[in-house]
Amino acid sequence: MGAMEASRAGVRFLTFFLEGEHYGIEIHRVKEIIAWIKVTKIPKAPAYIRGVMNLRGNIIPVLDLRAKFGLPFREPDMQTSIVVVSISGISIGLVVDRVDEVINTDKEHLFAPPKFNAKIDESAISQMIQGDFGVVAVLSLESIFSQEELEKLDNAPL
Amino acid sequence: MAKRVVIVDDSKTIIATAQMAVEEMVNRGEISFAFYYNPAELLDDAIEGSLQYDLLISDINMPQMNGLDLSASLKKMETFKNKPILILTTESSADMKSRGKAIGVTGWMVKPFDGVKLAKSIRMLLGI
Repeated sequence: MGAMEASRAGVRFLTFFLEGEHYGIEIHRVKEIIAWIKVTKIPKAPAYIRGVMNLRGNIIPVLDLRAKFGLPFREPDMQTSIVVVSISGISIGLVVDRVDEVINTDKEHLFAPPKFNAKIDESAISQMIQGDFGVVAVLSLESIFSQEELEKLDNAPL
Repeated sequence: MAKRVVIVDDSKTIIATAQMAVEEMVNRGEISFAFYYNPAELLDDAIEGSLQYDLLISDINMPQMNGLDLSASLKKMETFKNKPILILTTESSADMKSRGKAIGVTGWMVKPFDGVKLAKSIRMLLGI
C-alpha cells in the first residue's frame, strides 16, 4: 500500500520480459526507455540488427535480443519497448517484449547463474537475482555482443 | 531540499520509463521520486495526510479511478491546490484537454513520451 519510493539503496536493475522470461540489466547501463518506433532497416544486416532509429538526431542501432538469442520473431505491439543501453561506449537500442520495473536488491539476493533452465545462451547471463518478484536473469551485455560485432555497429549507420 | 515528484500510472512500463527519465535528477539530489500504481491509494494517502509532492504526474485512464477525477479531488485540497499536475496520457482530444484545464492541471504530455522531454517538463514545472 502507499507510495513506493525510488530508492537508491542496494543494487538496482531494470527488468523486462523476453519470451515470458524475466531478465534484468544493471541500471547504470540503461540510458533510457522508449516505446517501440518503426526502425529503418539496413540491407544485408544480420538478422539480430532490426535497423537504426533516429533518437533526437542521433542514429542508434536497434538490436533484436530475440534474434540474437535464437528465439522466435515477434511482431511489435503496444508493450514492445526499446531499452537504450551503453555497451563499450556505444549507444544501442535493445528490443524487449515488455519493460517491467526497476528493482532494488542487495548482494545477498544475487547469485551465480545455474548451468541450465534458461532459454538463452548461459554465457549471456552474468548473475541471477531472487526476490519477491521471482527470479531475474541479469544479462551480461559484453558477452552478448562480440567486440567485432560492436565495432561493426559503431560504424553501421554511416 | 530536493523537490518531490510523485507519479501515478497503472502501467509498470510507464513507471519504469519515467523512473529512467528522471534517474540523473534523482542522482544529483534535485528531486525525490515516488510512484503509485493505484490512484485510489494515492487519494487515500492524500486524505490521510501522508502524501506530499511538489509535482504530480498522472495518467488518465486507470482501472480504479480516472486521473482527471483524481486531479480534481487533489486540487480541492488546501495542501495541493497550488501544486502542479502534469497529465501523461494517450488522450489528446481537445475536450479532454479543456476539462483538464478547467480542473487546473498544469501540463499535458501525450504517450508514448520522450524521456528527455519529460525531464525538461519536470524541470520547467518545478522551476529547477
